Amino acid sequence: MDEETIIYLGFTGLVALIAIFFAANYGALSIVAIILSIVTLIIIAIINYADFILFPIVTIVLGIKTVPAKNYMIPKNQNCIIKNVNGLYYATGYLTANVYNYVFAAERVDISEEQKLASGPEKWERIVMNVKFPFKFHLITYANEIQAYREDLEGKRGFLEFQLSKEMQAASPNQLTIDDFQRRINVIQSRIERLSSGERPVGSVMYIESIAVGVSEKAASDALTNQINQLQTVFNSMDLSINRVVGRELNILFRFGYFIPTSTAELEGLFNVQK
Amino acid sequence: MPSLKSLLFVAFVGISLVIMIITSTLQIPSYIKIIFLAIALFIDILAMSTRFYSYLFIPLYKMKDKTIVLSNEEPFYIAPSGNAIITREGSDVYATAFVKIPIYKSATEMNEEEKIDFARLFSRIVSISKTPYKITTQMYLINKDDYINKIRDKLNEVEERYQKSMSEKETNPSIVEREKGEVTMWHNLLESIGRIQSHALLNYVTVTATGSTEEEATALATQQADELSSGIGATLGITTTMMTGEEILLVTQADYTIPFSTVSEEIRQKTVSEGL
Repeated sequence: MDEETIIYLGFTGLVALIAIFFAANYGALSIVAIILSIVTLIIIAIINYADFILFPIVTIVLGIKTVPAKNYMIPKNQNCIIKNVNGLYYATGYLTANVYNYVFAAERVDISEEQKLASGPEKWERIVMNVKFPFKFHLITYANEIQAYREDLEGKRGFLEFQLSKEMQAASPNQLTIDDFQRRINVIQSRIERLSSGERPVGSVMYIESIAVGVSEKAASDALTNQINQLQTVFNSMDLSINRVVGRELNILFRFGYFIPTSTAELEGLFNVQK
Repeated sequence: MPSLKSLLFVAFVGISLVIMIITSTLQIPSYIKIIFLAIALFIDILAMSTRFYSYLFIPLYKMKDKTIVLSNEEPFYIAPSGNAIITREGSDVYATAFVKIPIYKSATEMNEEEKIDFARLFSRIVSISKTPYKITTQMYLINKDDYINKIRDKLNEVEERYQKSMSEKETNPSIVEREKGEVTMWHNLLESIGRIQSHALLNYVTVTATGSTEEEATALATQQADELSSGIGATLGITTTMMTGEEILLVTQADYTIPFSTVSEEIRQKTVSEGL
């Protein structure tokens, strides 16, 4: 949990906890006070961890549209950006394309790196051949500070080794959990070795953008949803973690079309970047 | 100086706490206390929402017709030099430059070793610069607008001539027949052009720089773009070029990615074929 999360969750959560603590002052309605406070705590947690669920609900219920720039509009369901050009509607939508799963869930370090590298260009070309509509694959990349990155990896490895030894010493150790810890340690170890061989660590944000056109806002938006579903299917072969972007991040990615953050700190503040 | 986000957070948490403490100590009926508690907790939720949505608070306050206007300006404009776009965010000026990476190699033509080498070279590109930059592969519709518009103009012209010949009784029937054939020809050509979409693939790199003035930001962005261009060119052994004017619009504007006439002709044919 980063510093900012601790501050926001800490202070707002504390206010709700104080309300629970003083619930007795509300006499016969003390139960209502407790329920209200618990609901507040839940909403605070949702805002922090899954605001992409809550924000579209609010805009749909209140029927609120957003205008991010001249001639552009984000409809109330917050899943695309629509541009009207001479009566034709262009809907733009985004998909995250993080490879977290690839690294932490599906990557098998025993498979030779050569094989993985060789299959990459071919998989990509197969995807391009199968897609019959406009799309963009974006990769924002930046260099990490080597020493800090190495220390971070070593810290993670130490923590995983501690968890592994704890699991191994347990009364009934779970073989699956042990294997999982060992795999993660191997992944981190291989990264440390790559750093030692002189490779520069990079952070990255990956996302896919697609544009659909229609004679009405709904036609464009429906066509876009169809395209996005197809992209989700074809990109499955790349073993990416793909999710449609809704809510606040839609506006951020829209702005990324015109300028990208100029510093690492700014970029890391906007997204969970992959390192 | 504290940001608007921090100020709003502190203010909301403070107001929420004050309302709650005062309410719980006052000797008022419980139901009034509960109303005030609900208000305090709502403000607490607002405090949390400032973490991600502080940019929405002022536009939300000014909202009209259930529409939040974040900006009424064009999202960017092309720098006078034509090789970058300028965006303003508050007092900050951002200039973004684009570098085209022409890659004509295909994995189907490569053997295993070449594929590995190519992937390795691409990995090297990813870590070529310390400042953030964006690598994009874009698939877009080839712009057939000019061609379609020329065919449309020609079709209108021959249709007009054909109608005129039809209305004139003294016109030779063979001329009318020839003009009818010409109309059919141009019509078929328009239909065949509009029926199929032609796609193209483009790779490019985007880099952004900030400055206090437009000129400063543009100079920095183009300088960074030049550095990236040389790095990528040397790594992949290709000639990279800075994108300008219409090329920039192709990668930033939806209506250039899907050209208007190219797609409107396709939509028209689809509508006709569906009998709408």
